[in-house]
Amino acid sequence: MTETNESGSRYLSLALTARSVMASLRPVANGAPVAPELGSSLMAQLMNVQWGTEGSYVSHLEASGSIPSFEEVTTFGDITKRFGAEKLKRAFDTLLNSQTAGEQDKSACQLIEFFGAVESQALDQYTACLQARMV
Amino acid sequence: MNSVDGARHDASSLYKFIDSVILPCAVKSHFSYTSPSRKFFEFISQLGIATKDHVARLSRELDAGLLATNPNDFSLRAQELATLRYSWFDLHKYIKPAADAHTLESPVPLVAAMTARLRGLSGFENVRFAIVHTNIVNYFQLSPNYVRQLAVQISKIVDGPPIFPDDLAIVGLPYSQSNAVFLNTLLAHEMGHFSFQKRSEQQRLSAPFNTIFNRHQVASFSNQDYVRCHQLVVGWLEEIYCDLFAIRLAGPAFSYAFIEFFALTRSNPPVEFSASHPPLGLRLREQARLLQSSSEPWWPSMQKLPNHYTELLSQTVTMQDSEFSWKNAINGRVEQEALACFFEMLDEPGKAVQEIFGEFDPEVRAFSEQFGTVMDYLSFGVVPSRLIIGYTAVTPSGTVLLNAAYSFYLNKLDTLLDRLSTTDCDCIQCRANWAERVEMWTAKALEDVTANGYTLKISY
Repeated sequence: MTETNESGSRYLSLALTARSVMASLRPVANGAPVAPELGSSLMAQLMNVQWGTEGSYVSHLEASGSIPSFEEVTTFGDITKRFGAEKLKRAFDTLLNSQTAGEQDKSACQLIEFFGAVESQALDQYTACLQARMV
Repeated sequence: MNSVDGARHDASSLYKFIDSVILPCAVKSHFSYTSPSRKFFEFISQLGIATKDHVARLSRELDAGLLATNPNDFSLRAQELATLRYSWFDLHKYIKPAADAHTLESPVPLVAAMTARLRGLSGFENVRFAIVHTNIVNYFQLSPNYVRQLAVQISKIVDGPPIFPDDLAIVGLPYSQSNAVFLNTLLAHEMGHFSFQKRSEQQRLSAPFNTIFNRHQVASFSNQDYVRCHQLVVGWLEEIYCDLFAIRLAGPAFSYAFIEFFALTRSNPPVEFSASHPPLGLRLREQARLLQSSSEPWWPSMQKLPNHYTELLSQTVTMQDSEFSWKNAINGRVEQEALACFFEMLDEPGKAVQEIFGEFDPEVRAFSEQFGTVMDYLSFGVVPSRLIIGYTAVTPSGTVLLNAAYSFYLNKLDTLLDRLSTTDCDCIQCRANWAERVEMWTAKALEDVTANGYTLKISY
């Protein structure tokens, strides 16, 4: 595939991943507990947030079983800046570790908004790639 | 601007779009399909139905109450319609082409023979390949793995869809080459991409990449530089992996098809990297190195049948790393580092492929013993399904047949033409016609020798 095609595919894949996480977060926002599957998925997404915000890749080298794509890192980087890295990390932390239902609901809502923004930017980039292929 | 009516319209438009996309899977046609293709259609149909149900449910939830109480959530939920539309937009590319690739318009015997070989390897016992057509002429621009990934991702967000079968892979070929045998050997490269994904080779390459990258002590690389560098290196190594995988699966016929397809005999092979692929010259060099230097190399047998393709392969082996370079760099620093890491990791794909196929290739010895007889048969217009060597009847393997027939096409077509009193060896049209016959005889022989021929043909 050409680079534009591949890049477009990666952006669409990112949009679908974001949507899938949002779907799993909805029940938590309505008071359900965090399922173990969602927990591990969120841990992976938290890594993406860190990739997108922390200054150096070095801190990730040891831990990274799989390295995210360029498209994931740039999108997460942009959106994390918009939402605030510390606020996001707190939301992840609360969702994964807090025992208080009310706090978890609130964090789930924050993260749904965050992943909605990730999905939206990924879709924008996907359509930009589509346009680049047009003649 | 959000509105309930707008969302309802978008939902019904998407519903209609999905309906039209899955139509080729649902309509009963008079064509027959292989079992993997039928399985693919069945999956897409079910995924389409599940997506439509999901869209209908979502549309009901996008009501005036939600819009009034939480317009932000309304907007976020409505965004899903766009994600699903674009996903089906991309799936669309593969569905009609799959319907076009019925058994009369597919290289079924070749794919069956390669599948049979692959199924003999550990981890690939149940692998099946559905074939799709495309109007893109370049096999290497297709990404059939993507359709699997996309289908799996869609099924995660819509309720109650089927699970995409683990061992069902997709291979794509240009519609014009539907019945070709020799050029379609390039499909072995696509099978390599399936193996790369199935065996999580990308993750396995990350550790040596990190070691080398650390050793280089690259200063002032941002995370984005680092992941781009990793993406380039792993992407290039994947292409090399798939080429080597194809050679181990199909033999030197893959390199012959590669040279023929890209017309590489015209001049010096290209030496510049692109963001998605290593240069053709480098790919050919790595293929030639494998053909020459494995524990049981094909090279001695190939030397007995010298032609302009083997000559080119000999020449590329001597190409140095320094002859290859990056063109149109967006950020020269990242690409420069990627090239350095890539060349240091260039042994990795070969090691990974050897892990799958083992050190020795039993096909090499069989080829050296049988290729002469296969070529003799073809020179008399006899389908070489069963050979008499000495006083023994031998059934050649698909790999032996494919390679011997390709060598015949390259080296000995004149022998066949000389036997035909009405054919002029210099007539290009005649040569093309008889070359096509040789491919048909080869396809017939492949069908005959593939394990459980007919059964495999319809159920592999």
